[in-house]
Amino acid sequence: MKALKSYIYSFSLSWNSKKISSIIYLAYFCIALLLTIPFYKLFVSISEHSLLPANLLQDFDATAFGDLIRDSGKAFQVYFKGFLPWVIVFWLMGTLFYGGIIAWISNPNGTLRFRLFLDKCTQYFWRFVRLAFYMLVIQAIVALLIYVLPVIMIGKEGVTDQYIVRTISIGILIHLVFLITIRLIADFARFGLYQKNHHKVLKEIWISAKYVFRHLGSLWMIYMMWVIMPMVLVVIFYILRTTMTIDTTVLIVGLFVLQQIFIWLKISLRIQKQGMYYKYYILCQVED
Amino acid sequence: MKKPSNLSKARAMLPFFLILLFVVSSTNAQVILEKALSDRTTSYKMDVELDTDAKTVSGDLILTWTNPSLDTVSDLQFHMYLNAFKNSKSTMFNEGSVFHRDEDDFGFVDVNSIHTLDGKDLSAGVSFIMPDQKNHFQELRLSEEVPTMPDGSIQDETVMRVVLDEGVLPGESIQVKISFTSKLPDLKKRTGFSQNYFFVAQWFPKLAVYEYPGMKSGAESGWNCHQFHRSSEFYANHSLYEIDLTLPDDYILGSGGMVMAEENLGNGKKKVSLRAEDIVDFAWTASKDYVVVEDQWKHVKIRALFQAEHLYQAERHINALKEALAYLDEHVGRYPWPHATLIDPPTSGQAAGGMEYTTLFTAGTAYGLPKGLRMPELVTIHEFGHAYFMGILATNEFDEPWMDEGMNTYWETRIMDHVYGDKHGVIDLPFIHIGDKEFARFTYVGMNNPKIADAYRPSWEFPHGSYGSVIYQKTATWLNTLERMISTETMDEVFKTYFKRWAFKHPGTQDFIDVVNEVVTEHHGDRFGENLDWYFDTFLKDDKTVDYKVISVSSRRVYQDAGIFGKADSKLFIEQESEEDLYRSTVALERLGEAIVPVDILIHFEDGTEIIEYWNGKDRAKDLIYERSSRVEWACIDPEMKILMDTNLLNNSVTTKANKKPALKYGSKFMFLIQNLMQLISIFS
Repeated sequence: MKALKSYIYSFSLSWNSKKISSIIYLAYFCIALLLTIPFYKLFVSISEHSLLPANLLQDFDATAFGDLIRDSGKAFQVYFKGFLPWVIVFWLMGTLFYGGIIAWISNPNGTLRFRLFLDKCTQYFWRFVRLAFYMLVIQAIVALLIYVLPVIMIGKEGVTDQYIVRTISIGILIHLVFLITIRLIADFARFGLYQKNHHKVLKEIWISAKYVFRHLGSLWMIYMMWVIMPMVLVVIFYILRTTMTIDTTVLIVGLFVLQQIFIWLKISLRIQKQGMYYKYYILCQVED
Repeated sequence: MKKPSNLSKARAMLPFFLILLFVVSSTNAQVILEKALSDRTTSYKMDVELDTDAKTVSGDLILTWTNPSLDTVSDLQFHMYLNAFKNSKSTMFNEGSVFHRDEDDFGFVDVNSIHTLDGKDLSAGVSFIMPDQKNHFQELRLSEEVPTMPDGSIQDETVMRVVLDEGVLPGESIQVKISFTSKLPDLKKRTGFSQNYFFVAQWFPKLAVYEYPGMKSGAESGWNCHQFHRSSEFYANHSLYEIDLTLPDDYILGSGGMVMAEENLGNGKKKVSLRAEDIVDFAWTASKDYVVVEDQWKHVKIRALFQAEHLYQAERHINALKEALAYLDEHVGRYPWPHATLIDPPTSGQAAGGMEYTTLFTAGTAYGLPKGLRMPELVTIHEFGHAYFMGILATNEFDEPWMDEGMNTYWETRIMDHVYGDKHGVIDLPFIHIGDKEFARFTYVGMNNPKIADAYRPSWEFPHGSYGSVIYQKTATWLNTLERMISTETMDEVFKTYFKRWAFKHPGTQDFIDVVNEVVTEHHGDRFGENLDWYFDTFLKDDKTVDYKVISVSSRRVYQDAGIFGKADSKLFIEQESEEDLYRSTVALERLGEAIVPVDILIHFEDGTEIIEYWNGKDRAKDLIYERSSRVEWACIDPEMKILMDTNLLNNSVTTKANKKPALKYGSKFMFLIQNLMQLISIFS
């Protein structure tokens, strides 16, 4: 019942979180734009006075794409080599916003002020970074344990490719289950850290793990209910993309708008999920 | 002066010997084919047994060889391919890494006895030679011209020479009985065993090809017998094989021959009598785990041996094979044998995959491959295609590998793109697709150094692992370019003529070039010059690359004459006035590559008119100048994209009207990718 209540509640929360979704979306948008502008300029300088890249408008064209990348290979290489620091920035950004998101979902009826949102983001930033780092280590250990067996098996004689593919597929499935469960632990650890406002990250992970395993069935159930929406979104986007030929400026702009709506919805769904878990967390506390 | 006289003598006598050979070969009764397809200079009769525990194949072989030349031949030379796996001193091991560890992993072929059929012992005349005289690494390590082991024995043992007491006279036959034991290696490259799986290729003492003047262009008298190199394939006579093979009765057998009889010996063994006619190589395989699927294409019985886990892909393989049969039948010539065997090796035996043995070939696939990834189809079509170039034409893969792998890859690209769609042949997934022709060009032009080597050299002389890209992909690309230049119809005519003229005769490079020149001249006169030798000199025998570039397109208004004219008092000043609506447009072209190819240039004016110019492509730079009422909007070299050899097609055109749409589209895709990546990474936050 708590699970269902939380799930239903998350929709209204999501609707009321348009502003916060937009703030986060804008932050991501700005960073992405910052990275895209040099890429676009590079692309323009290489392609604008050649007829070949026009082949890329109707459909993918391996020859045009290949020659374009090769002709400007070094420029693109330099661009992509500097990408790792950006990955770290994305990771830190994802962590940064959690403080603000939890502050909002814990008090959705309050007025959202940008200043408050930012304050909460920074207030919890370092402890959430520590939490994210520990969770990353746990993820790595789990992945190692899951995949070590198939890797050993690949080297054995008489093992068929069917066996390898199936084992790895099962491994991926198991990994996915662990990944979601570990993320649940991280989410509830964040709620604990926020509510209790302390810095004992490891202790909170432990408490959260116990909590998650105690409520595993319900949590998985609401996760499964929630996951339908993102999947529908992906399918809709895929159908639209595979049925559209993007070859005019209007259509390119249309595609861009569609992409941005998709990203905005993803962020909105992320907040919905956090709100859903938080509601469940609170309902359990009330019951206790 | 000696050579021409020998050559003319040989040519004069050739018809006589061909008749003689035909008489000899016709004594081998026809069982599979209506008539002998080749001169069958060799035939092998074997009685061998597979020992699945010892991993050996042993028995007796009776070789019959008819001397097709005008020479008295005083020795025989055999390929002893399995000795490449004997120890780390072999040429093959030296050209790659040693990948065997346990004693059981190594392989070899031992000659236990050798004598003529009338009983003369030839063992005293047996020695191992290294015709190629070097192993790459040995050359660095040792100063001796012919490297030897400390005990004085030669290092590579893949070529065995048998000196005869009496030479074999022209047109005469010799019969030699060899008792041999072949220890199969662990299957790491092409042949051997993997647990209870056996793929048995290059497994017996195999006679080399005796070449002679008149056989093909440039042939000289002597054995053409090379060591087994890491990247080389094979060269052999078309032969008749009659093999009695004993093996455990629970093993399923696949071979390049047809089963003539099968007898259960009652002791857990069976004896299978196999026969193959006019093929250059006899390979076979045995496993308990094969699942047999049979099908038929016109006169060809298809027998496919699959791994159970790949059975669901059987249709993909067999359809691809049928498509290849139909396409090659229509565009090159008839597949003459009534049988074709497709082998799907197990995962542990993948080293035997993707290989051809005329009427038997091995496929290559993996469980779970989506239909849009056409690896099973590509490998099947490619390996079957070899039946034509390695099998029927039977070119020398040691010395002229481009004639098999290159030509075959060209046909593979044609078949793949024809059957599965142009630009969709190899990969056909929702957001990405690549045609086989595109893939071949992509691999060639994408090499770190496309000028690294010409394709006209022995297979083991390609530096830095460039053999594959140069021989397969570069050759396919310049043959595709040739096709686009001379038209598909002419290209088909070239191959049909080449096939008809040279089937079962081992042609050489010049023989193919001669056919091209003949057919192209017949169809196009001197449109491409006196002949197409220049084309082969550029792309086959040289490492030159093509790159034509439109440097700029510019237009300016044309002005009337202006300035001060006349002298002293009669000076006249004429003011500068522009001609009404007259522009001088200049299209600047450059040749960046060393290769010279004639190209078309399409000039498009702002008023929509278009002109096609022809440029012989010889000069390093060329300007095209027009005075018209309309400015040039864009210019494009090779607008029909015939010259696939051009290493950069992006610079083939320049337009004055910038088109930012592709950048906008891909910029938006890139941004979307970044945004999604951000979301993805936040999973780990």
